Amino acid sequence: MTAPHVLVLIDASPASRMALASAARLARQQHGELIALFVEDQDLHASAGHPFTREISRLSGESRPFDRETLLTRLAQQRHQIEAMLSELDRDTPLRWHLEVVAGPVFESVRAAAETADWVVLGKAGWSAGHGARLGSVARRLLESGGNRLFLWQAIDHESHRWRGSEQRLSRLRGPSRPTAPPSADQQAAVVGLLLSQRTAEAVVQTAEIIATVTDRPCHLFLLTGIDPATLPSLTAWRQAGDPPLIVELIEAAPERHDSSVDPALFRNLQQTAASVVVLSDDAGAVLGRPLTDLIADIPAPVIRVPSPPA
Amino acid sequence: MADAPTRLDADQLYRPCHPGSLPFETTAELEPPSAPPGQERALEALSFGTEIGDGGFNLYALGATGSGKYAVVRDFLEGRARRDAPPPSWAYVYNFDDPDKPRLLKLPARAGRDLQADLEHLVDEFRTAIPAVFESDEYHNRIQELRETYKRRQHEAIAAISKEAEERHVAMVSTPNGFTLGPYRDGKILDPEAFGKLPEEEQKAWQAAIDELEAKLKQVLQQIPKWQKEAGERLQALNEEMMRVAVGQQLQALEDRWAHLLDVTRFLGAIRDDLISHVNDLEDDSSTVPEEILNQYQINLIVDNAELHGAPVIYEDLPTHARLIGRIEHYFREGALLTDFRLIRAGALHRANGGYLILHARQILMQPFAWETLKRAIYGKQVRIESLEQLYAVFTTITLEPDPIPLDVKVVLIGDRLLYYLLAEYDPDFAKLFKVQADFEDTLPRQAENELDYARTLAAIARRDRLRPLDRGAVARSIEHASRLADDRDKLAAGTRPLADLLAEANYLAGASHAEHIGAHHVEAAIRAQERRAERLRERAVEAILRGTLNVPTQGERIGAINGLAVSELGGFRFGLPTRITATARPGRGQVVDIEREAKLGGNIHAKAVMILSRYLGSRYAPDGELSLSASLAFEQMYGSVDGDSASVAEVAALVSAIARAPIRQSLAVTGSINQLGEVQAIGGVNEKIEGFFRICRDRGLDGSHGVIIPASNRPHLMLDQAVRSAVGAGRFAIHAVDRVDQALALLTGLEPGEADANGAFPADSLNRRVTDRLARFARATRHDRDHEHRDPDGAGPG
Repeated sequence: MTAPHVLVLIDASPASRMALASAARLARQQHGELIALFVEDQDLHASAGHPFTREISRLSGESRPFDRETLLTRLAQQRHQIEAMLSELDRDTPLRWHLEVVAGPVFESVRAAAETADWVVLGKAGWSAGHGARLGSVARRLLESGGNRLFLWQAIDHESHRWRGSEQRLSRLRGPSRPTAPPSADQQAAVVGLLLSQRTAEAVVQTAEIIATVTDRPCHLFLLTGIDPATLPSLTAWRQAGDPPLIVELIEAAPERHDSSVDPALFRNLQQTAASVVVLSDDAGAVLGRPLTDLIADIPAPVIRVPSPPA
Repeated sequence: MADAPTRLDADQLYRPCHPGSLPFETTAELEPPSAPPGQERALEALSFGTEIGDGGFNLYALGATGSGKYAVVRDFLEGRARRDAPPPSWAYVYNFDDPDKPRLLKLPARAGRDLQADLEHLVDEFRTAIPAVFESDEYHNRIQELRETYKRRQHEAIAAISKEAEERHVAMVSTPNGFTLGPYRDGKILDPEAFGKLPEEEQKAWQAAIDELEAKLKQVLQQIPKWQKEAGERLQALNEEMMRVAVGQQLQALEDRWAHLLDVTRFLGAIRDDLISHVNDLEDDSSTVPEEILNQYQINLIVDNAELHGAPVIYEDLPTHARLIGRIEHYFREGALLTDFRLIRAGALHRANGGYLILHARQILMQPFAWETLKRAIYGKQVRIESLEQLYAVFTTITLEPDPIPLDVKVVLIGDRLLYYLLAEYDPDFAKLFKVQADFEDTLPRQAENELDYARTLAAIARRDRLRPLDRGAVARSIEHASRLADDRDKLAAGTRPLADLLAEANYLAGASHAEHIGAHHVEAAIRAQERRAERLRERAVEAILRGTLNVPTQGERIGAINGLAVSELGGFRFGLPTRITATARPGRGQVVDIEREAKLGGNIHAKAVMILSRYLGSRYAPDGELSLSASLAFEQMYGSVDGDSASVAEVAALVSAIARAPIRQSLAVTGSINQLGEVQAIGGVNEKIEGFFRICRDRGLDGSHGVIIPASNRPHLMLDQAVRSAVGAGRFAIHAVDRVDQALALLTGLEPGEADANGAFPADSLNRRVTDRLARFARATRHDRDHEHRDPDGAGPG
């Protein structure tokens, strides 16, 4: 059996740095190889070549010239930063990794690289997602294309917990340029698994156990009524082993919803359990009556989408 | 002929108090007196001063030290205060508008601690109620809805642009900093080469579309901060609503409970507003209000009158500036001195507000700035807490300016008379602010009813100081001692402190002898013990006289020398001793030289006395002519200052002896002052003086010739020691009372002074005739000298 490949889509952003750390930990636990993929978007290259192209600031709405020189300088800086980040990874603990830099269309480049990967790790909110925690277009298309286990990483959104005024307080206490809090702020938050169909439950349990082991966290499984736990050998074995700590909770099937927001009962469960990561299968959207991409976008935590086993 | 002097009998030297006259066995049977005996005037003044309204009618209780003024004033004021209602309690609270100026709350006497408890309870409730609301599902759901709405709005606005771009074949690509727009065909952005090959019209159309979309995108992106602001406002409104929910019920309940006190309900309203304004300051992890904010919702109850059953009566034993008007404490944090309204501390004026404040005048005058502070507070009718550093800008630190407290207090100063008269003389404010003087008597008449009142006072002292009861003998001896302390057989010393000290000592002696009661012998032993402890100096002086170091002969006769009597007082112990007075006489021009005065050892009163006796000699012996006398007077072996006029009779006798060359009996000592007419007047310390001379004579051996000449007007003051009385009773010592100088001269010289006839001539062989004859010789000698000078004006003598 070949060593599993963990593919992480990377740029130089702080969120990307965090995703890289998670991917590295996963690769180590799996004794696999980490492949860092940096895509130089061909559309950006093409766009920067036009004399009339401008970049419109997301913050101010003001436009400024955007040419190839600017783009190339930025890309060179990003590569340099990525290389530095990767070098840090095996400084203390050995890790096999390599950086792939490709130029081309982003989604196609990622899909091509993902074909040989067992895990794909990328940020939930991509550049094209605009403001807020919407799902990035690349992530959305990867979800729709099925395939590997997809780890959609997301920085813990403190706003969702404490939006009341913490921004003012923090800016007063620490200055306006406070860095993003690391995702491991709450070390005891559980790995949450959603067992929503008999067909995919076993795969979700297996993935949840891997993640709980990797992250040394307890696991909380929500089991939809109707699924027989006795038919899940991984769950039975896990229960017998007793490690990592495991809680299984039965949940009722949610009534069908007509809006696109997340099921409130599920959302509250996730909040109360303080999920560090949510593992679900690619039929979760169908079971809960919502598009999977919308469901994942609304979950305020990193998500691992597990593909359904072949029929 | 002059009236004969009166030789006093032993029973004229003392007024005993017979135990049998006292209608009780021990003081345990006696109730305390309803009012201090003999102090009606002072009590009347206290009554007037405490009942009259404002206008500077504060009081000064004046009287001798140890006269028991404080106890009387305190008892009186406490009795008076019981008739008044307790004054309000006072508290400081945080001023939300101006934190440096804490607000004052005036509360009914018993309401202060209720409000304090209510607010403590309220703050406790805040600690749980506020997190409960802000951690609730509802709050989180509403926050989530708000966020979703806000994000959706942004997303949809940008998605609309993106969709329009797509329709117009323009790609909107994200960059790390924003967006770019480019011509889009066949799933990708056209590169510049391909674009350049397009017809110019098409290129322009695409560029126009891009420009238009860019403008729209800019517009949307520039809207986002406004939407953020709007979202922030909605969030703030939500938070405020939640805070109102969290605290509203408790605050409303308190507002209803305290609706009758407008200031309190205002403060509660301010708490509500403040909490809402601090909704963004809740602790991150627990949603609790930070303690430093909660502390602002409590009160600093600086004066709590809940336990009072009348007006307060406060005595401040250390009336410093700060202890009078209160102070603001500071705490040290990170190198700075900080404070807040909870560190305001009340002063005596705060605690006494609505009642009475007792101060010792001497103590307040000794404290820097305290007197001015007190006057300013009384004048301004308010207490403003200001440190001396603030007042005089010595140095500054962060401090507060609390609201001043309206002041309604009667101040009673206690002090001695000298201080009262000095203040009245030199401090113009004093007369305006302390208009009522409560003048305490030093003595009270010794009558049967007063003796019983005095016994009640002793009973009260014994009870107060937890002493054994006094039996009637002890009371009688104490009454006698009080007469002696008053220097008057018909009076009793009003001061209670010396008596209290004596009784404490007697009680100790009674305890040592396992007695159930204090008896007369215990009191007597205590008196002797007090004397013994204090008499070291007297013993040394007596020893010096007995050994002849000090020349005080008590036998034989001398010309121009006499034993006078002086009283010394050191550390509260008074004793008398004889002093040697000598005189010389020679021709001159009517001069009596006071050697003490010349040596600057004599005081003004003594100087006056010498002038009086000079004029007496002149009018007595040279009424129609010049007194051709040059005389001198001196107190021998006295190295300290001399003052008073009680040696006048002795000085006249010494001068007469010197002029007439008539010897004086040294076995007698003399005391008394005279006026210009030769009448003998009363002096002070008569008992000590007699006992002082008696002691010397007794130690040298009494032979019946010894005695003391005193003014007849001092007879009521005699309360002499048992030893003196016994010697007088046995005829071994005599006390002569005289009205006129001639009576004393007769006793001292054994010569009849003689009265002048119609021509002014004294009988032959009389003492006064010898005086006038000698003065006549002086006159002739003086005239001779004067004639000689006239003949030889240059002063050059023959020869």
